[in-house]
Amino acid sequence: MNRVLADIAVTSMLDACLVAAQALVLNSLGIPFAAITAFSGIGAYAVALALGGSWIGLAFAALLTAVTLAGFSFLAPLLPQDRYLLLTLAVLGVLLATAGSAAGLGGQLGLKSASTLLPPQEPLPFAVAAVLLFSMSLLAHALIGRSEFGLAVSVARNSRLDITAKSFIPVKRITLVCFVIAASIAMLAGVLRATYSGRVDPNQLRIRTAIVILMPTLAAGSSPLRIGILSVVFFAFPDCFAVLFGYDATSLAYIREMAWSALIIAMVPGNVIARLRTRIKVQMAAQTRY
Amino acid sequence: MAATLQPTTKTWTLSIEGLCKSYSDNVLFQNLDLEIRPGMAIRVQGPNGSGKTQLMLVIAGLVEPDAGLIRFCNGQELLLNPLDADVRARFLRYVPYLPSGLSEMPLDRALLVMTGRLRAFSLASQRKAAAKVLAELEAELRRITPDSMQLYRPLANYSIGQQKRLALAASLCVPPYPILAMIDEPLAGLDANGIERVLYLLSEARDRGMALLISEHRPEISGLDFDGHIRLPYRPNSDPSPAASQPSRPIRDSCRPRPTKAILQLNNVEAGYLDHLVYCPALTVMAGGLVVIQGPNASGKTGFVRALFRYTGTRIFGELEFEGLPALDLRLGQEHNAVRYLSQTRELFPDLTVQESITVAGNGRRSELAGEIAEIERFLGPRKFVRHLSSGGRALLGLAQALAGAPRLLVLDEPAANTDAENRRLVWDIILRVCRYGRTAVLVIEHDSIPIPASAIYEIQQQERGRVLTRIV
Repeated sequence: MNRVLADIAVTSMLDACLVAAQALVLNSLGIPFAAITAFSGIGAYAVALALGGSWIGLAFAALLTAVTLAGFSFLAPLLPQDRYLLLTLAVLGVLLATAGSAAGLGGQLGLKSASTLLPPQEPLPFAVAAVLLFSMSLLAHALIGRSEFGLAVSVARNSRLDITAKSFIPVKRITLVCFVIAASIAMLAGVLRATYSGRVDPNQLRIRTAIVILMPTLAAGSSPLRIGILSVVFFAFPDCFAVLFGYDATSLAYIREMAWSALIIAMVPGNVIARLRTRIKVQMAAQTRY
Repeated sequence: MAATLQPTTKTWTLSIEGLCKSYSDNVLFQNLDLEIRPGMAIRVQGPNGSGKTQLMLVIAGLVEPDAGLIRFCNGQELLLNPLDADVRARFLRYVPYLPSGLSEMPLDRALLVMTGRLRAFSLASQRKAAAKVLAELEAELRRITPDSMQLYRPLANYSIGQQKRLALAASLCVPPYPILAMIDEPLAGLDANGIERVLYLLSEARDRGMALLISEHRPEISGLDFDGHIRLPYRPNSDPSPAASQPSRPIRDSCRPRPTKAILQLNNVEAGYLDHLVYCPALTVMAGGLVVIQGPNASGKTGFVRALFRYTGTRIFGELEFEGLPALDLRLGQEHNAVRYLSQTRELFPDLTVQESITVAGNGRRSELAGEIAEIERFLGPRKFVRHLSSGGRALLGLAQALAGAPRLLVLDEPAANTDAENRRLVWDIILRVCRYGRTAVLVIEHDSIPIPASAIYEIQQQERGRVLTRIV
């Protein structure tokens, strides 16, 4: 049981890292980016190649990361938002096809066999590493929220397409830096996941996985507290619930959806209450005025 | 590079050689040569759309020129184009008409950005940096904007005039000073008092050795005693623009005022941003009537009108009637094209052409003002993209879009701001014609007197119980 729970902790934390990384680009910078799993995938495959002694492959992974990063960053102010979102999903498709078809990476389905890479590892050190990485991601959000860099990010978000924004801050470089931070977090998460599980799963490059990461990212905004709570609730709670109360895998998916829907519904009254509170304040102000 | 550039010394020269810029077949400027020395003030002149803003953006390094070089010489010669973003931000500063992109920020953060003191790659506390800049800027701010300011209020909640003054104070009065400040329409949206203060501020900046490149239509700017002028002629593209040369269309007899009807009535209304409410005992705008709300900058004119549409952060209390029926606000009328509000920020459709944007704004309605709309459309060029229009062109387009919905009530916030003398005449002429048709009521916000007769003029006055909108004519 402990092993299972530790396993859930590691995978949930690593997924939560992807949420935090994606929130940096999507919520803080306002770029409709949905392909953070591309970088975790590249990180995972890079580990597989390095352990296999393919240093040329590793160099290729580094080059691919640089090109993808530069491309995403460069195209952000040039493309309409819907096309940019489609492009991010298309890049995932290309990476999935590349990983799946490259003979050196395991043929049609990539390195899917558990024995291909390493035997599965003990969860505890990885749980600690995952918690550390997630904490660092949240810390990055907290720092950005309060720092001068965060203010520059905010200017870049509000006026990325506006030429005069560049008279205040270097918009392109700020965009690139945010992408680099997000990609670094995602790649580290990918490396940890591959090393921990002992295999590289091409499914993490599928669009449906990207959508699973996208949902809590959209709900969380850029507040570190909300990212932390939502990620844990979204990824860890349903799995733990299923394990502790003996639900099977099919039920697990439903429980995840239920938890997610409950969370969304729970967020709605928050807004309603805030609006009511403001209205009451205004009415009271009006009464004292007349 | 940064070590060689010494903006405090008064011996540098900025040479611009053979600068060219054009968009498709529209040549904005060609082989422009210019030499700028410390303390020089140069005025860029030309009609709307002649490329004044583009020239400043090119010199600031924000737009790539087609050809040309910018050299900075301070003992040693440096080529500044293309310029590194950090160096550009520190030594050459472009001050836009409005600090776009900062409107949602609280005032202290926006000031930090506008001073050029924001270290974009620093993890130091933005709160502390903003407080430091504010402490340095406090005396200047008190001089240029004597009204009280709340640091938590978003910049957008300040009037356009206040935003302009804040942006200028932040850009020019906090070290490190730029060697060259390029200022787009520094007097647009300012009242007489604001103009005087801004001119004084610009003179001071010049005395400090800062060179100024200023684009401004208002004649009051000549009080600055310029060292030189750059005149950019308007070279229209392939679209004909006969409106400028055509006399105004005469008002048809059938369009004489009809029996008037009250379109908007306000009774005991208090409206505006919560900490800047304006009380209005009574205000009526009749069909075919033109009512003007006057007042100095920061008196709450824009806030009052925005509250009628319930903009974020505004409040409205009291009795409001639209076309004889009680209403909570004007949003419903706006949704049904009965009311059109043209704000000073000109929220247009940048990715559409002029023609498309007017069609979209018309929402399928046939306006009896089609002739006036077509006149503006021809003047701007129907196939031109909105994002390529100058600020004066946007003012005209905004008016055309507002007219296109055939509204019963037209609310215009400084409709002629940013326009040159010719377009200013055109704007007011069209507003006069709208009134004479007699179907539409017009409510205008202006801080200056207007060149056409108004049915009523209201002014915001400071009284014992607060700000009150009082009828003066």
